[in-house]
Amino acid sequence: MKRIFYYSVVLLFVMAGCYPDGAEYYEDTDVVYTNYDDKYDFKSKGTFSIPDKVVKITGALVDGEDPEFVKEPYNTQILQKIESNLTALGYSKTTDPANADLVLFPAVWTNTTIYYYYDYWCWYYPYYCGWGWGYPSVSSYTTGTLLMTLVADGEEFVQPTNVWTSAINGLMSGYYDVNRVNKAIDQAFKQSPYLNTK
Amino acid sequence: MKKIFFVVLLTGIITATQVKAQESFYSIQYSMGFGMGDLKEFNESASFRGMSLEYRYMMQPSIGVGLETGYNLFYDRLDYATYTQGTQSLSGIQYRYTHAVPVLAAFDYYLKPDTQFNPFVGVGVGTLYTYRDLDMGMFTMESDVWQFALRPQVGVMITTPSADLIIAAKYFSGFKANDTDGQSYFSINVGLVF
Repeated sequence: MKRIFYYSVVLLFVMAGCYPDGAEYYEDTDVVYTNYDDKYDFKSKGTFSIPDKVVKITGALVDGEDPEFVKEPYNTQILQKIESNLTALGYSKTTDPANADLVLFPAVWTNTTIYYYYDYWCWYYPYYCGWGWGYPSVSSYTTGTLLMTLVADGEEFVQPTNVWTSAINGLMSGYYDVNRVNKAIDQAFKQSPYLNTK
Repeated sequence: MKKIFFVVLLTGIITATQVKAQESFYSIQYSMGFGMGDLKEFNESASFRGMSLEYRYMMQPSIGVGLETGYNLFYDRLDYATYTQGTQSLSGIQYRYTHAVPVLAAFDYYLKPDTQFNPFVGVGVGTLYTYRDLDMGMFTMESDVWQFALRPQVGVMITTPSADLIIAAKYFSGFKANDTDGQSYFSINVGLVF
């Protein structure tokens, strides 16, 4: 009887050590989402406009204040990568958004999740449950999101309308990795072949 | 989730060891699982992370009844790919987990009791708990279901001077519940008998 208990416990620890960990690198958490209006005729369009700054959404904007923007050189890197993708799809850039078929609005935000747990010995001895046994363990992680929205304002619309959206999300590593951002922007346009005007 | 499953199994172990042995035996087995049907569609790879715990009371030398529980973890990492549905597309790496925990009442018939090689056939009836987890980026989709399950098995018990061994092939078949297709898998178990 004792032997089965000991062998079982050993096997449990072995299995716990073999549990797969999932994502190993920060870039393994990168996801790219796109959605579009399938009634909009992208092929007949040819021009786009884009702001010269990427707005940073913080949720703390007060009326009358200017929003925050992504700092250089990251701002220029993001905008240049977006422009190069749109150009490759056959669009020409115009500086006046009023004359452009489509306007691309880029925005970023970060989200920090803080979690803590205690009572983590509760499973061993239920008597201690609910008393905060053991020091609380606190941890956090931050994710970043780049949002790109194509807005059209042609004769077919009563008001400016969102015809394409892309959201890029990933776990932030603490330092800016331009390759991750560039790769994700490229992927957003790669999985949107309907944007092609050629 | 990982913690919950190990708590369940540890409880099973502790409970099993409290029962007095009267012409009965316990068995702990390493289990390799191979998904079938809907489970295989979600997780293609076999599970090499599994175990099984059994208790049998010998009503007669050739008939044993008892309880059985176990755990198998099916895991897959899908390379970076794009998934499209309608006008929406999502690209990323997927991590897929299926945790399967059967809890069964078992009945076995032993063909050659008191011999060195004692083949047996058996059937188990009970429930199969399946927890499914799909991780993509920082997002996760989870679902779980309890299903009525049947478990036929064939195997052999081997008596040696140093240890008693058991080798068994089992088929866990869950039945559809709550709009979830029946989860089923085949397993090869090798273990010790006490």
